[in-house]
Amino acid sequence: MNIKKVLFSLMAFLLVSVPLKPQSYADSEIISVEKGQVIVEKLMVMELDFLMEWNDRVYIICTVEKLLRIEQANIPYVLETLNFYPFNQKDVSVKGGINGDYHSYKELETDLIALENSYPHLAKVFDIGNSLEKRNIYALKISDNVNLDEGEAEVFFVGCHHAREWISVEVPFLIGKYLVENYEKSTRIKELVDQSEIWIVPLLNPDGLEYSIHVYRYWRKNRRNNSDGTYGVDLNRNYSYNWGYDDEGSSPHPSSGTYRGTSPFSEPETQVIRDFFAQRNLQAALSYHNYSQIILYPWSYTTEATNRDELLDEMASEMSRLMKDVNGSFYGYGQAGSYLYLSNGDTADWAFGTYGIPSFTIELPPVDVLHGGFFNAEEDIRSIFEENLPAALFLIDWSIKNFGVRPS
Amino acid sequence: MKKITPIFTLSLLFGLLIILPHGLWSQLVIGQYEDEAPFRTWNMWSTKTASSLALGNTHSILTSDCSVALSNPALLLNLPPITFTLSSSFETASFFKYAFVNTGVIDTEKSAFHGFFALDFAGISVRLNEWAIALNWSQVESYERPKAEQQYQWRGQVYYFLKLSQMGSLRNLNFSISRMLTKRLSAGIGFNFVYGNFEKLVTEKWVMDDITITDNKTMEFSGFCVNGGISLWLTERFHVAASFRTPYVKKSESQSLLRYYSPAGNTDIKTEALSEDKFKMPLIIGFGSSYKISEKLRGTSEFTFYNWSQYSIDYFGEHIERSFKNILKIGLGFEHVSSVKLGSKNIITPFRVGLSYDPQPMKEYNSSYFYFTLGSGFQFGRFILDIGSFVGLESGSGNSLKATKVAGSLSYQL
Repeated sequence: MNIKKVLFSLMAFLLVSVPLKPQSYADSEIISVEKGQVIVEKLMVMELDFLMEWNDRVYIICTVEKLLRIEQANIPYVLETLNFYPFNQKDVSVKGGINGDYHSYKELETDLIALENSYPHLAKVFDIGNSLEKRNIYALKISDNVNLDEGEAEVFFVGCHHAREWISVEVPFLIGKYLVENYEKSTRIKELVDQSEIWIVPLLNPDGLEYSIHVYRYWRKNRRNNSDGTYGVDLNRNYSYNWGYDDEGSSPHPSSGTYRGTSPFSEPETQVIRDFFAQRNLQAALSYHNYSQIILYPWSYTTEATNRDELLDEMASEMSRLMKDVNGSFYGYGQAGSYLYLSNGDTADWAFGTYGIPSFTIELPPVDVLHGGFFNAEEDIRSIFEENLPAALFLIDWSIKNFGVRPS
Repeated sequence: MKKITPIFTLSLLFGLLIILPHGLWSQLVIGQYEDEAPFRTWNMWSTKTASSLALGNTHSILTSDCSVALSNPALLLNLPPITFTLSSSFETASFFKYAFVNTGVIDTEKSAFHGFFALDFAGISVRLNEWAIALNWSQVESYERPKAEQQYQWRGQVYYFLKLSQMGSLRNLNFSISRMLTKRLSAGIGFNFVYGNFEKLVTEKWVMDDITITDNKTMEFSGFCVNGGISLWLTERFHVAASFRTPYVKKSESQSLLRYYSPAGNTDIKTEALSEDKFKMPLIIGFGSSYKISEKLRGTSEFTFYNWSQYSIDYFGEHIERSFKNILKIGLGFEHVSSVKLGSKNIITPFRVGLSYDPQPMKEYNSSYFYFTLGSGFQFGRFILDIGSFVGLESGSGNSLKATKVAGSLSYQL
């Protein structure tokens, strides 16, 4: 008998006789397996809920118990739950305070420590330095044997250089959370985590974030008292690579929103990143911002292309393609200086210019000021994370595959 | 008992002011204008009617109206059988750093002034033999701030503006009872139901794009605390008193709504929060003394301890410790009473002056107010009208803040 007919008959029977009740699948996952006679025979004895067949793969709803049985049967599968949003509405652990489901500094601290406690073999929280107002800046390391430095490919994700960009805290945090929570469930995630050391700094500017939450929502810079009545240095103009290259890409005026500070790395927050990079052997870096829904790569300080423009463009293009596949959201991409605007002293230019590693800035949604500017609805946090997840996984995968190979 | 001379008493009062450790004289002010900070000063205990205000902000020792129940109910026994008092005031204060003003968003060249008028006390007390009772209503704290607005124009058209307003108050319903324990000693206790409200609204608008951001926070307060005190006449001239207010939790039903509204983008993003918040208000203990220097002249002093080191708040699910330390507030006043013949009537006219030192509890910067107080009034038959005022000068914050207050109180005594 044709296997396709068997599957369709089986699915039709199941769909008719066992109507899906979404509320009963809160603890279930959706997986896909390769369509094949041997696999289907093995699956049929497990009393699974077949969802559909698409693109030569069979999609199945299963509980964690049945997932273990599938693993014991050595059936390769791919976890697809997140591609079926909003089927999976699991709690993302962030809890509402005055800023709703977005994290405050203390909430993030609590959630990072909880993640470490829940997955001690996979997640470890490092206090890598202090902000100007003495708040801790945390880095979450994710790897198998997380307590060991195994000399694997290292990837760096950072969020919230700019205080008002609340979504840029959530995306890197949720990426870290996803990696540890799906380590046992997904062979792909396990492979990535096993072969790399992933460093996530979700909140680089905690002082600014707290000011944004409690005092003025649109605050951008850190909380440096410039001693002239103005406050704040733009942390993403304070890195040393071509710092202060011109006054268009950053400002020498302390009152400006893009004030670059008195000198390169004048701010403790950027010093933390400088010192962290010096201690690690990173393969790639990604800095989250919003808004615009675009992927940027160096250079930012000039409209001239880097000598690795082809590679960076190819990587950005692939990330954009993967992101579009999730929710249909298109992230434009290009060289920052020509695609968006000039900025000097930013993270990506510094990481690429100093360490020669592929470095990106992702400007998260919304696309423009009419659709929210620096605001995103709380209910959109998860979908923004989900569409950014494949890009992050791609960067980790790329780093593993290119471990030891560096652009000149 | 050894006779206490006026010179001894005055020397004691001034001596205490001079020998107090200097550290007590300077505390901080920036951070004074946290959103929950009362108008002008953190150290708000009871409502000062005109006579208290004029006597160096002292309120736990000299007796002139039934507002004494708010601080030391034992003093109710020194009032006539029935006293009814109404008091109102006009108060101003300058602010430098508050909310986003002078903290990075809106800069001002000078401090911003704000003033408001309030009917801040109404009460009645009744004395029957060895007992006295009182029922009072008062406004204890105000949360008002100077309004702030910034706007940008292009070709005469406003294309952006940012506005801030904050208002609110804490009120108190007090029932007090006191009893004379001996001829010289009396004690009293008061039960206080506090309630109030707070609202802060920030509005930001880009006119051309018709984009509006609003950040609105409201709170409804409630709480209960007890105050009490004793009063002891050591001699016919020398009178001492001690009083307290228990620490208590000022509860708040808080709401926050942050909204981004852009009709052109069909965007309406709301971040809402509801919370049951707590403000741990501190223990307060006061000691006061007054001395009748002559038939016409009295002096009074007061030391009030505020246990601010225990202050903390739970604010929208977040526990926040303010960096506060305990403080000692000091008041000193003199009252001269004379009488004037108006026709066949004898009008009693007191004249009051005083000084008050009011350190703020924050640790990081030293700041304190120094008040010069002045007042007068007259008693005409059963009516007493008092006027009191102060001018307060702040030092330590670097912003030379100023405060003034004028209060008028009318009492009717039977």
